[in-house]
Amino acid sequence: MKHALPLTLAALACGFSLAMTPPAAANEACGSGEPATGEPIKIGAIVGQTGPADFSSASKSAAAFFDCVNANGGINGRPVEYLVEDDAWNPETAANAAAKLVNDEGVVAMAGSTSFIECGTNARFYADNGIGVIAGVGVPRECFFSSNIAPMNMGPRLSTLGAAIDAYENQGARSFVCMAPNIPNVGGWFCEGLAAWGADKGVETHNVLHDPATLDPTSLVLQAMAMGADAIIVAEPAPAAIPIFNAAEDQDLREEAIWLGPTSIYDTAFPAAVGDYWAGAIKAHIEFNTLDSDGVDNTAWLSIMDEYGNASDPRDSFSQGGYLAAKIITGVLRGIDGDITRQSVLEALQTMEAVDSDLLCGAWSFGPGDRHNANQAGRMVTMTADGWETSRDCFVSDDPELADIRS
Amino acid sequence: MAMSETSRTPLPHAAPRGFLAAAASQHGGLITAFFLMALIVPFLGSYWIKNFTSMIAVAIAAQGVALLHARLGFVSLAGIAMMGVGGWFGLRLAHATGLPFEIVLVLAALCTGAAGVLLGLPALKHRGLIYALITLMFAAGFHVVVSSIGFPDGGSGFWGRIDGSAERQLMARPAIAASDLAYFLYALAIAAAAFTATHIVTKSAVGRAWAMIRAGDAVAHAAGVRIGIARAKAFGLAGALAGVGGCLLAGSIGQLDGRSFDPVQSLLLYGLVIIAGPWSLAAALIAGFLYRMFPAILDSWGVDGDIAITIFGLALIHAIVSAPRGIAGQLHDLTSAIQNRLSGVDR
Amino acid sequence: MIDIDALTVTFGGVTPIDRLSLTLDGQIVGLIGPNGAGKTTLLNVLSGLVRPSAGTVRLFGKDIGALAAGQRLGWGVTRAFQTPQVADDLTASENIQVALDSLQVPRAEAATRLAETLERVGLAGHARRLGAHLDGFDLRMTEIGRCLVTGPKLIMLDEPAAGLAAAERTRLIDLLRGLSRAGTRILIIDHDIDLIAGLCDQVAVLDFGHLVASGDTDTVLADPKVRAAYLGEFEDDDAEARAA
Repeated sequence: MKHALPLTLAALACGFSLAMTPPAAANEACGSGEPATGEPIKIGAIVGQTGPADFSSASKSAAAFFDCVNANGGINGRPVEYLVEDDAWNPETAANAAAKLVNDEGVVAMAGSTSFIECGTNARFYADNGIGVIAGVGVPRECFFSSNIAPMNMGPRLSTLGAAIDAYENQGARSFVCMAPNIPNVGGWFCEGLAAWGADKGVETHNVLHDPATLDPTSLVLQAMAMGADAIIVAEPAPAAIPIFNAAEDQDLREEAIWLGPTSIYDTAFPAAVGDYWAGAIKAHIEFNTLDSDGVDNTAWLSIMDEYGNASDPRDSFSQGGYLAAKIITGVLRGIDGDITRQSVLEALQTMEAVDSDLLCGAWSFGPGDRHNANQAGRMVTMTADGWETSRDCFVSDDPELADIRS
Repeated sequence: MAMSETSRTPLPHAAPRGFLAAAASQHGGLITAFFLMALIVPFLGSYWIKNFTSMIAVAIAAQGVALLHARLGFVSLAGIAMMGVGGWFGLRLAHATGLPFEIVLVLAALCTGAAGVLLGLPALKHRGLIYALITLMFAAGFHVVVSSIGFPDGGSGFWGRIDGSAERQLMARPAIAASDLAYFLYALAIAAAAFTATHIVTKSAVGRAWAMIRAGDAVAHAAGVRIGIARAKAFGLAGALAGVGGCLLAGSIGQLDGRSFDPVQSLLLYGLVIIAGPWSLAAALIAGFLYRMFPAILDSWGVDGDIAITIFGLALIHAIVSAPRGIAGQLHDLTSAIQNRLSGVDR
Repeated sequence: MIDIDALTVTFGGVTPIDRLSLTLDGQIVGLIGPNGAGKTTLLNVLSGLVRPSAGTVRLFGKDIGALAAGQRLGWGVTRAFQTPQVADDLTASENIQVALDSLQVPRAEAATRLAETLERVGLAGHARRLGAHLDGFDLRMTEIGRCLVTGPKLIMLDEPAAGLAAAERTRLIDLLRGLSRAGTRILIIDHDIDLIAGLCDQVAVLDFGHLVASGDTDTVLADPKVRAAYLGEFEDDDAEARAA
């Protein structure tokens, strides 16, 4: 349990900051007033809980946030009933779950969903049924290319690109290897973003895509090194990235390239898992602010998790995304005059005013367009022996694919 | 003996009360189950309607697995994978041609039937465990390929995958069955047709030839059965059934993902067919129920759906040790016992 | 009817039939010999289940070496097995119908022939009983029904009377005599010398894959060589079996 230490330290630090702020800090973020008693407003989420990895963290922080809302005035007196379904990483299950939430339960919106497959499976269904979705964290391309789904995060494509931009601007990297799982609309899509940006900048980019089921870290590392690039971006989930860095350590390749990763490796357990060898040598791009940052929202997130969440709920960047999704949908619901229906909620989402948060770099809004990618800027962190420290504040990941959204 | 009185029947094997009446007496429980589903499922809500639709699709594919096991004695550990093949053909044909769903369904069934015959080719040389392993390897291979390439989603080229910023297309449902409920009833009707077709085939010359092969190659030869062709027909029919199931599943969700088709699922389906008792036509429906609905029901009770696997394991041991004719056999025994008790007939 | 020339069958280092030459031509012919004499192997060769290693086999003047097992039915050669081979999950009627299916006999004609055959083998009352529920004699008759439904030139039976009760044995003999009178040739393998002596006009005696004697039944059974080498011993066995 060595890796639990940073979490404990972070919790202690928060305890300090809480002590210095008024005790109502947690409640301020979720409202004020008496516990809600009226007819519940149903909000759904679909997360990939059982399966290759547990993606339920965002729904847990959203649930904690809604509990806090219900204890503090609710949505103008009405409580939120938050319904979470597990899609088990299976499109069929995801489709059934969406039918259950939307048709059978009659949810007015979705918030905090995090899934590898749900966006692709259900995007059309949400559009046909006029359901607005604020995804806690979107991973595959489909989450960013649907009229009714707006993820809180930047997405791994922009995060991978962000890591490259930082190395290009600050470390003089002029050639890159993008290492990613070969899943359609996932790994290939991340690396294409790097290539499109690279083509504009005259930067050389190579891809090392691999079958996610058969990961051979040593051969991947050697393949990447053979391309002779300045920087290697390990665009993998943390459990896959760890053996890759271990394999690179075995070959003593730390100084042979600049080693980078997207948000997925920004995990409190990661530094201990890859070991001291890599301290100071791995940089990661992060889509939300650092987990121990002291802004209003990060502080509120942690205190709400302590008060309304379970001790076992993760305090990770997915959790930050779920917190934000819940907070934003709460604000939108509270602002609706008249009946709260899926139509009025979707309309309110599409016309909402942009929201600022210390967890984000820029203001976030759902937006009216055919696709959504409001969060486009992030930060860089560098791994230390026992954690991560911020090495660069907000900067935009300038993906040519975003031209339609920017215009 | 009363033999001489009945001996005047011109064609003794022909059912005296007509085909439908005979089927009704033999498969009364199955027919009742279909009617009950048509009556009850519409009132269960969208989630259960979708689950029942998936179950029906799986049941059709399971009919093929049961057919190969019970009629030919072949173990196919590629039931769900073949369903994936059917789904692939269905999606590819639907996106490429835009033909009505019914035509796509028939074409997908034919293509998957042909694939089934190909998968049956090793059966000319290998039986038992070796053939079972060959089908399992096929299932694993299919999973690897379809996981990396993905199912067709409206793109161009042979694989039909979109790229760039094009939107993934969903497979169009039949014009008369666009809603979830209508589609469930549509799938139920297709399943009834598929089960009836299977029943007719097993009662036809082809089915008799299968029974002879099962009795032994020597006697099949002696009875003039062309074993290779008869087997190919079984593999073709099993493939076509999987094709229909896969295509219905694709139509239900609109798209498919490799994750639904990993080899463990095929293995599980085979186990459930054995538990259900493949010698009965109803087994496929029971297997489909166990495969798709049982975990969903556990889930709705707040029990982890994965525990279903453990329960299935115990049920399989029970089926092998003490109920070799499976659940369908036990149900059949129960209903015949009741019928006999009621009519006072001792069979 | 049966002309065998220098037939040798070898498998797995065993030679159950070794350069056998034999001619049999009768309405009902018998094949006798002790266990391991090669009788069933010869029947398997005649029905195409076993390929000869050398030599030729002619039936009704035709070399049948190239004819696959499944094609022999169409050519008028049928057989039954020592242990009746009947599909458990087909009815008696369906078990017989299979042979008609194989020859693609038109439906109406098939129905007539099937009904006639069931009547003839005494299964009309059990036509719709499943193979699994038929008793020993009915199984035997189902198999014989499958042989004769196609109207064959030759029916080959492997110990058809084994395990039958006296009344059943009589019915079998009546059936075979009737068939023979109607022009169907019959080849019978049996240990039951009384049956062979009573039915067959020609008989061949095999021992260890070699021919001991062949020809008219009376002549062969009177042959001292046959009596010494085989029949005496067999009659003892038979007497013991009856006593038990």
